[in-house]
Amino acid sequence: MPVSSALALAPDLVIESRSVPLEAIALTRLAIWASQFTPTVSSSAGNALLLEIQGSLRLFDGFEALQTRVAEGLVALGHEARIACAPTARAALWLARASVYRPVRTIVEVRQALARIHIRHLEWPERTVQALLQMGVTTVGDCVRLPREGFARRLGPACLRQLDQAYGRHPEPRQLHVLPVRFSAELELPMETTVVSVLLDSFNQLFQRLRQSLESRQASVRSVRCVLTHPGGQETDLYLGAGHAAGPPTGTGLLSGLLLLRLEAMTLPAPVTGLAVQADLDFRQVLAGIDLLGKDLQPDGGLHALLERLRARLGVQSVQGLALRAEHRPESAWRAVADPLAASGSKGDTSEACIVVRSRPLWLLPVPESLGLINGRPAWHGLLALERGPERIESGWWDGGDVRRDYYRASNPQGAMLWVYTDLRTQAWYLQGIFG
Amino acid sequence: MSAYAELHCISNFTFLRGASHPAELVGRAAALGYRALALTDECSVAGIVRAHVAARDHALRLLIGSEFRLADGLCLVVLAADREGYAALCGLITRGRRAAEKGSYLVVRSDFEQLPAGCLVLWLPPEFPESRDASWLQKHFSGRIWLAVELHADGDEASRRTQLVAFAEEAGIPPVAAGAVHMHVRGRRAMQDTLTAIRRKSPLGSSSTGLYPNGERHLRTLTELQRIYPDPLLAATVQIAERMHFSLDELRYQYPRELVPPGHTPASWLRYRTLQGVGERWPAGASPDILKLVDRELQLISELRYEAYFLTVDDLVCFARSQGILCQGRGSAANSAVCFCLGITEVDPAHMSLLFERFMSRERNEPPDIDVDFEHERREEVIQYIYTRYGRDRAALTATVITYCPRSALRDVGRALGLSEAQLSRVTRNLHWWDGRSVAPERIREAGFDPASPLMHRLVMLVGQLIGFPRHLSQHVGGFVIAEEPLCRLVPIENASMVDRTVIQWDKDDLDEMGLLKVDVLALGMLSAIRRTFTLLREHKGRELSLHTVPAEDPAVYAMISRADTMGVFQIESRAQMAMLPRLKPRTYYDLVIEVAIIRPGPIQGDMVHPYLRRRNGEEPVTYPSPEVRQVLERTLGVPIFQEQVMQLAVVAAGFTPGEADQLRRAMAAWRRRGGLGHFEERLIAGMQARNYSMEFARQIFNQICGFGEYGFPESHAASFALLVYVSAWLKQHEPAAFTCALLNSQPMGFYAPSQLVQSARRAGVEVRPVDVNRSAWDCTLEATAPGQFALRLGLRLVSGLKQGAGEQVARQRAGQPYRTVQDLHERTGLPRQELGALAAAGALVGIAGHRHRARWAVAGAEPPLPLLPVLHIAEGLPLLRAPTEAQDIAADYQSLGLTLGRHPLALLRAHLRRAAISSASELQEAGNGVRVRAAGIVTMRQRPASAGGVTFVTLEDETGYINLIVWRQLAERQRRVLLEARLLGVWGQLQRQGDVLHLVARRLEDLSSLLGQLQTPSRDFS
Repeated sequence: MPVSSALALAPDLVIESRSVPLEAIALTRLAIWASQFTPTVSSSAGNALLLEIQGSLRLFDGFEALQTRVAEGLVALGHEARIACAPTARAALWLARASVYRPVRTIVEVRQALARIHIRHLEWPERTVQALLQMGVTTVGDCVRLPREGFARRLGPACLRQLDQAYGRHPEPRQLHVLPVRFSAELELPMETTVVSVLLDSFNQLFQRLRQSLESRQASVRSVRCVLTHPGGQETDLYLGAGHAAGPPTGTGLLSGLLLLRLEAMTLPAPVTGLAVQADLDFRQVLAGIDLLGKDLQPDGGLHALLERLRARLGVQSVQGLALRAEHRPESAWRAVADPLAASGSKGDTSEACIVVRSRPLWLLPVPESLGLINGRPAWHGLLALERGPERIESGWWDGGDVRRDYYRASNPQGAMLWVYTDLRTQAWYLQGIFG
Repeated sequence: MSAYAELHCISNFTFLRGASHPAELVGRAAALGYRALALTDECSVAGIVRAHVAARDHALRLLIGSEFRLADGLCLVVLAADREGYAALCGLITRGRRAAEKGSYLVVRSDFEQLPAGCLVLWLPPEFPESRDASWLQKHFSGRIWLAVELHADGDEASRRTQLVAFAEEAGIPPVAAGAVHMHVRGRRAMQDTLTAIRRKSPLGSSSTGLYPNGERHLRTLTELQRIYPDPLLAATVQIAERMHFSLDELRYQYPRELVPPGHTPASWLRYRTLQGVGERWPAGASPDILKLVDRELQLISELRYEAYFLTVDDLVCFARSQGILCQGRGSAANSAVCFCLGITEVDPAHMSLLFERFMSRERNEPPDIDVDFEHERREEVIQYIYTRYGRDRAALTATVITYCPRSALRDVGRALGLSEAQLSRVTRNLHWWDGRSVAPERIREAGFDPASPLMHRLVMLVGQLIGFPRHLSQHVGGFVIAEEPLCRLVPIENASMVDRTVIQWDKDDLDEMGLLKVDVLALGMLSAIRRTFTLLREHKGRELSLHTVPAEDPAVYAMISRADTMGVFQIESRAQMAMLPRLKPRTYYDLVIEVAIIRPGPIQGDMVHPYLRRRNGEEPVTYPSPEVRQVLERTLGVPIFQEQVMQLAVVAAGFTPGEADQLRRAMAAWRRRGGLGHFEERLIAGMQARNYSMEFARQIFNQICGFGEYGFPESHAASFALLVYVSAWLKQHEPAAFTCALLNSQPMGFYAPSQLVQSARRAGVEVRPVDVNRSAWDCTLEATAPGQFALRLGLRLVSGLKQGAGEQVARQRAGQPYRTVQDLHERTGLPRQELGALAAAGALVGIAGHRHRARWAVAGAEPPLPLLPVLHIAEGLPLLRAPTEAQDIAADYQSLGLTLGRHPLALLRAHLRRAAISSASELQEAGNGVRVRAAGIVTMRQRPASAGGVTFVTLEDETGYINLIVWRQLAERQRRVLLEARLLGVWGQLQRQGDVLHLVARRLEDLSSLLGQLQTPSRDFS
């Protein structure tokens, strides 16, 4: 259904776009969470988890108790789940999709339960479902009543195999979730301290272990969590390198430098009794050189490192880049960007700008300054001589900031080269910028 | 003060660049005192006729030219100084346009090198002009090339001017001032920015790429120009303008000559052909009256030198007849005795008492208008004949200028202003097919926006400006221009979106203005249906019929028409016509002419229907304010019904000359869009008062003229249509099986879907048989039941999803040997499974595979024959498949065929509906006037005629018949969604009975569609 039709039906609809990657991440998280109940967890079709629980029943006091724990756990995590239980994975999946929650324990029961399930719940290809419906076949029971060869010939062997898997006539191997590899190291300090150099030295020991771990596994890290433990179990977290995933993998030598800056900039709430370093290993990007520890990275990396340092010192919000915009109004012809390197790298819309960059001063006043008049002529530290112009700019009506101005290059008696304009609506004069 | 002529100016016919209409530019240039204005749209002259008309009104000299961006980046303006120059310009545009896809063009330097001396050239220099280019230009256009100095306050004006003048001097190319005008006033700056954003598909604000920095590209005042340009540059503009002598008035149009055999003049040949026709029409000899009439007409035609026009149409009609293509002419000249003799029309002038001169006059020096309708499926043959006979360089289709309507304007402006797709959907969703021509603030509010917000204010303002802007050229439905000389010397030809179609750059109003011959080659579905019926009758009954041999004035036919039993009959089958028929009760052919013309927005809005009915029924005396008016209105009982009568009234009662009356007709056609009836109003009323007509009568006539507007229907068209009405009604009355068969085979056409046509035939006693692979052909056919009795067999063409080739293959391969199984069908026809599936869905396999579910199983199991091996017939177990229920079968019938031969879906729901106290259509027929009832039916049609003041007419269908529903505007707006979306509509309402006509006036609507489940019921919606 197109959005317009949906809006026609429900005018107050709030439209949000769906993110399949985010759903996949959420499902992966749930898979990790679910591995507390059984080591064999697999996912299906991006929206279902399959837990093999035969071996866990005793540990968790039987099915009912286990189901309750899973259901309550999911609610606590903010998810709604439809849970079904059956002797085969396929049957459990179909029953869950069909919202048949009553546990099914034997193959005979499976047969009865599945017989009534509508084929729409099987998530078979739409064409297959349509073909079956056109034959008047609406339930799993109708499907298994059909001759097997005839069914396979018309609807494909895959559907028949799934039916067999559901009925336990055919095994169903599933790919299991593998838990992520995480580096984690702790260190207990011999005594409470707030001395930065002591803390840094201790962290460096942990970074050294991280480095060894990375080297041996040919992995890298994108961000590192440094934890400082205070008496009474309080913790202070410091994330290094986080939030700027675009940067190259952070070397441990660099980590030390970054940590120092962060430690210097902050006030510890309490003395520190212990340290920990945690990081998720990233196997996708193996570094060319293993030289992570302090020696110069590539020149580009150097710039990244500089930015990291500046951000660590001044705060993330204080470090911004500038980029040009194709826009006639001088005050709108530039914009701040979060990542100056990204902005300078991509030419963006400036590449095909038809705006010929005419003589513009580098220094634009934040707000145009109103000019005084002498005998009706504009003045700024003396009468202005208009040297070039007018350059007429009439633009910006679409955002309510319509301007109509004639710009001139002007000089004053001191020899300052100024960029001034007269507002064509009010005839008032303004200083917009100063040529260097 | 220096004089100035603008030599570089584009209008909104340079689509998405120019921000003013040609007439606005001309008007403004005249007001500013410009010496002349050149309209130089980019590779186009589509706007020049409009500019020409405006320039004549404003007494401004209009120059004609065009702007070109060459493939290598060079930019030039070519101006036409004389007729040869204009022809060359048209040729250049034609070449450029034909070399590229629709909407774009491609020109290279060599295209320009041959331009004759009558083409003057302006060079639009880039930022840094190159002397290489200068010397090429010098070489080819010496003495007629100028360097355009276009200054737009870009900051460096003085140095730019100096630079260009110095360059010009060095290159030996004289400089001239020009404006690169994109709009008539600075106030169109926002519009121009918006057009740019639409063109570049990048919303305003996200980037100003491509936007001009200011609004200087407008027609500037002479004072401003003088400040910007030195005198010599301004003087040069006037000098150039003075070298240009071409005016569109010079275009002389030549009719094609090859239609006249050697030894004849056009006049003698037309006389010869006409007299030939007299011999055929009146084998026993024509009466002296007829001969006198023919003679007078021929004389008038000769006087106006229109012989070639009549011969052109004669030639087309002869071709169609030789191919067995049914056709009929209509229009101002078509109902003449000459056209009757030539066989262009079958309307006998003796029946009509129409005077030819009424339609063609000496004073109005304009070509006569003949539209020829052809069978809709065979019109292409006629078009191809025209191309072959005259060549593609001499015959082309007229353009239709597609302009922005509220919906497209809202979409484009909204997008340019950065509205999201969801927001746009919200706004445009509320502009359903029934809204008028402008965007009302209420629509915006309904969509959940505040019309007072600045964004919405901008949106509404810009949309208002954009509506009516030309958007692109499309092809006219069938208006052909045919000329003696290559057409591209008159007007450029460009590619249409249809392959192998070309259109000229002017539309029909432009052609009218320029006096160019146009023949409308139109497609009419009813002609296909009638010809098919004739063919069926010949094949099955051996009866030969043609348009003029159908027995005339048959009382049984008029009785059927008066009962409004006219579903499938040409023209009078619409809801409104059906409601009129029992009141008008036509008894003669001329009554049909009136019936065709009276149910039109014009007469309805002019309030002519009821006075006519009252006078016809003797409830009101028939009076005339004067003998002259009596002469004009006598045949319509003193009520003006036809467009011609209004024109004649202007002549006899208000003293208009026929030429002025014709101007009035055009103004009427356009006033809704453009306004401008004001001075006609004064003249008309003053003229009538001077002739002693009462003010009341004068006002009434003027109001009728306004009401007529563009919807007035000419008697000359109604006369031809009425003949088809009669013939189709006769066929329906006497040959319902053949007629329905032909109608079904000519779909899509008319107001009704196959379902209604089939139900109507069954009510008339026709046996209708289902689609069957072992019986049906592609088309619907007749099957003999008893001598002279026929049943209608539905054809495979009704099966949705089945291609014609596949359907024909089924019929061909059957060849007397029925298919035994689906596998057999598959092997013999080679049809892919998908098409077999379509047959299964239609129930066409019942005979060979059993019910639909079994048929589907069989189709899914059909194995394609292997080329080398004999087919292995796989023996497999019989499947256990439930038979479909009746409801499932009916739903499947509708989904595949759009109709069912089973019970009506509402018959299945009747018990349920009865519990809800819902009456059937037949029960309503028994109820009295004013009774409040509850009813329901499947929506088969929604109609909201512009003339009905916001009333929506809805037709509901149940198993017993039809319910005619009237939904007033207020209710329609309150329950808009139910009204537009319900497939099964429930109604609380009040019955309104006028004689035999029954309407249900809705008070409340209810969407009962959920009761229908999967049933697909299409409604035909008309606005």
